[in-house]
Amino acid sequence: MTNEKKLELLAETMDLEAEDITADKVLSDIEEWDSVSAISFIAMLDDEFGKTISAGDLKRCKTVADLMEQMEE
Amino acid sequence: MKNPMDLSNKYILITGASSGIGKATAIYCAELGAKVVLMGRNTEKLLETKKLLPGEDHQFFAMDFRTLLGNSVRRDYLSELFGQITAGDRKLDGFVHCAGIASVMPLKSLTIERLHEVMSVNFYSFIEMTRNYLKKKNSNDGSSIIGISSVLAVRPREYELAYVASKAAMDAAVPVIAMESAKRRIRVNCIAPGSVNTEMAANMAREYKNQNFQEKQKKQSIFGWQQPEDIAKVCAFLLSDASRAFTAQVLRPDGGYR
Ligand SMILES: NC(=O)c1ccc[n+]([C@@H]2O[C@H](COP(=O)([O-])OP(=O)(O)OC[C@H]3O[C@@H](n4cnc5c(N)ncnc54)[C@H](OP(=O)(O)O)[C@@H]3O)[C@@H](O)[C@H]2O)c1
Repeated sequence: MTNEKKLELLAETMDLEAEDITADKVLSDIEEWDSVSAISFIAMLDDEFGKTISAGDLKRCKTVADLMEQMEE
Repeated sequence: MKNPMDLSNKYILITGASSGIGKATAIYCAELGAKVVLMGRNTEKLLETKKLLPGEDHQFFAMDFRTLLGNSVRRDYLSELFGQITAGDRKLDGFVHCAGIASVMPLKSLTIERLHEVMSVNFYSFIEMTRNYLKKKNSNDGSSIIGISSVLAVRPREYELAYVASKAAMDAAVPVIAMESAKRRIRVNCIAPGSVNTEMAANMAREYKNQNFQEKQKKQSIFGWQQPEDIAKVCAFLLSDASRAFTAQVLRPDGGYR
């Protein structure tokens, strides 16, 4: 999957405009990244990549790029 | 003079707009100044509704909600459809889900397929449409979502399990959606009519033949049968700023159901 498509999916899970999200953004600086979007992210990984992420792995994600790294089949 | 139910410049999406309550709601909203997007199954009937709308810039899209079930292609179609509706950064100010089907079937003959069909048109589509509506790119803050439920959700009739359950599901879901949309001050409510003179009611009378359905239903309510326009007015109220304090409610324009 292209990085562009990944960013699009992430924008969708956080209900952001695609242009408001970039790989270098720090998650704690994104107002929309909260416990609810974290749940949506987990669901999206499952739906799109058939993948389960552990709470520990998710906690270690600090940036949008870290989330994108998780988005592999 | 002030009109508290003024809808001018509001952009409203209505399902079930080809007939009955949805059609009356589309007309009434357009009369109050709204631009409306009509949805239904039947293109010809949608065109007919569109012709009756005062003002310009109204649009319509035909879609059969039964195709939503277990079909991710159709789900993507819905998000594309919202893309078309909101093209040019035009966001919606309201969504009214009037699409619905009745179903009379004793439990012993109620197949899972039939139950799915009724749930798809009456309830799943409401949730899928609402989910898409609530994306920030599709709707304005402070806007309004309405599900057309039924008195039968709380005053059930035998042999209508699928219908009753689909409407009770809607009543139950609405407060949850209201809480989840509160941050954007989007209001989410149900309207639960009693007996309304529409095609659906005429079909029911046919299904309950020999049982004097019309007369029986009339006696169920102090005011007897309601007209589609009576429900349309309550929709307009919930879409307008006059109802700013209403969320997570079920409004009951049922003429005093007893
Ligand atoms: N009439 C009553 O006494 C009464 C009482 C309480 C609640 N309600 C509720 O009010 C709502 C409107 O009912 P109504 O009386 O106005 O009925 P109606 O005249 O039969 O209209 C039903 C509408 O739903 C649409 N629809 C049906 N199946 C669909 C599908 N598979 N996909 C997409 N759209 C579909 C129809 O589109 P097409 O015309 O294109 O097929 C039509 O526009 C319903 O939810 C009903 O349960 C009605």
